[in-house]
Amino acid sequence: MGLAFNSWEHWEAAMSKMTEATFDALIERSKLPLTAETRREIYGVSGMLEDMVARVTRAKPREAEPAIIFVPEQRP
Amino acid sequence: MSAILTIAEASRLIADKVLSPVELTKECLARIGKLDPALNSFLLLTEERALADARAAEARVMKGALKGKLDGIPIAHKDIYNTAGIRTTAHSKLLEHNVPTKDATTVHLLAEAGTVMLGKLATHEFAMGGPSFDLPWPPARNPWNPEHFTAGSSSGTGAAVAAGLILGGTGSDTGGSIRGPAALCGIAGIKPTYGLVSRAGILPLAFTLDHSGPMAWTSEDCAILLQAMAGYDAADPASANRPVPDFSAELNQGVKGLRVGVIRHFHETDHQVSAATQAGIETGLAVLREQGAVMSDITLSPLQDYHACGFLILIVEAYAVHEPWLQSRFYDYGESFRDRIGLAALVSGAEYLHAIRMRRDLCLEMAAAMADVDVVVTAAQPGEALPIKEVPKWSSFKPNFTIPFNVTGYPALSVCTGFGAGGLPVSMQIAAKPFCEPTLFRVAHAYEQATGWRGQRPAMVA
Repeated sequence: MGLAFNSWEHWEAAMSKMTEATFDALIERSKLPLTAETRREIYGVSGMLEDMVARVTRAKPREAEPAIIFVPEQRP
Repeated sequence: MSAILTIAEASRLIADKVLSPVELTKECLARIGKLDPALNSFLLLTEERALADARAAEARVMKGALKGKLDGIPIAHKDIYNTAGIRTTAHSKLLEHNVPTKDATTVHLLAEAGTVMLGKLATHEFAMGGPSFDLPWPPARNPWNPEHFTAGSSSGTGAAVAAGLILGGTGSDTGGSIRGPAALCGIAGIKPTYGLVSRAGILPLAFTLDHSGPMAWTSEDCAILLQAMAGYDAADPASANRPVPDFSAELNQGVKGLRVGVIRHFHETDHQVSAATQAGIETGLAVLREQGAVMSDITLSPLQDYHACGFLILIVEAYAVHEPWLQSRFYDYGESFRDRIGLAALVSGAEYLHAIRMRRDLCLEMAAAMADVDVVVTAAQPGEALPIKEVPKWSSFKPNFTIPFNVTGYPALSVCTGFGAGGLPVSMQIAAKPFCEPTLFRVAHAYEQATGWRGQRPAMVA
């Protein structure tokens, strides 16, 4: 966490951990009519999306949460 | 053709009957005719409507019935704002022939304030993606160098204001779409607090991140425009039902005693900005310090955390908005929009909820960090505008400086801090606590008044 994103190299190195079969299954489920070229394009950058998902997926306590969770005037 | 006026200057001259709204409008139309073929900032010019608006304003001037500071001021709207009887396309083939029957609330409010509507402005397709060269209209270009990018998605507004084609205009901001083009085009632009300005009648991108706001040459002009745009609207379920303050009230109070927090790690380590942007921020802080502001550094979660949280929420919400068309007309969208939004098909419900829960933590963090300061400062963009043909398709993966304030809903504004090595504008971003826009304008105005950047327009305008 906290990596400096000062160049494109980091993203180019962010290869997807998802198998192509899993990727294809998710696209099938979405019903998006993608050509093979578009599939390759999106699959090629899906590793960067996985990096973002990993960043927001952190262990949280199992406890009550508010129903409305976005209030600009939130006070700690 | 006379020098380009700010809204504040023009409104004083109109009130004094020194400047005719009709003549002012004709000057803008002439400038559009001369410059816009190189800028592509307008998707639709509504010349007859503009002249009719201007003549009505002039009649009010002559009767002594001026509506206020915006009466007779030429503006235009980003083409995701619905305009009754006037084509509203979102710069997309999907809405190429869409003609709404009702104005967006903000379009109505600005018309009621007496503005002169010159037309509809370029945007990135559905306020996301871009620059795109496969849409029915070309992308807007930067008046400081038309070979360069404007940023987006309020690209047409940024270009048109910088070139003096309009005195102000509307933008929308879901991850930085007002502040980005404001920064790269060298103008001022504010994303107000979430809920302050109605989004009713504006094509949505992501419900919980979308904001409507003004863009203009100065922060003072943004305050004048925001005054007309802000207020409770039952037609927007997220609209805040609270009194609207006088956004210009604190403009001339200076910054003595104000507490400025600097989120230094955002622009120095998390995503290192260019030397010119860094120098502009440091000079800006020095200007405020010399006027009596008190500085401190603030540490938040890494910029990447805010960006990941905002990006995931944005693409999933946008996917939900567009899902039926994505399934039936995927290739009617431009490549940039459709490929970016297609990523959302890979995000699970649980992952979206993780982002939502993280958002709450980030809101709490931002509130705690700002408890002891009045405003915070960081970058708005990493540097000058890139050549338009060299903007990477997946640049939205790069953590941006503006999205933390969409994630938290805090008001934030971009101001020009000079020019980089390529001669294009650089900028800084100032953010305040929720519904503290008057303080934000106070700081931005103090900075602009103390520096000379507002006296310099793009060379093509001269």
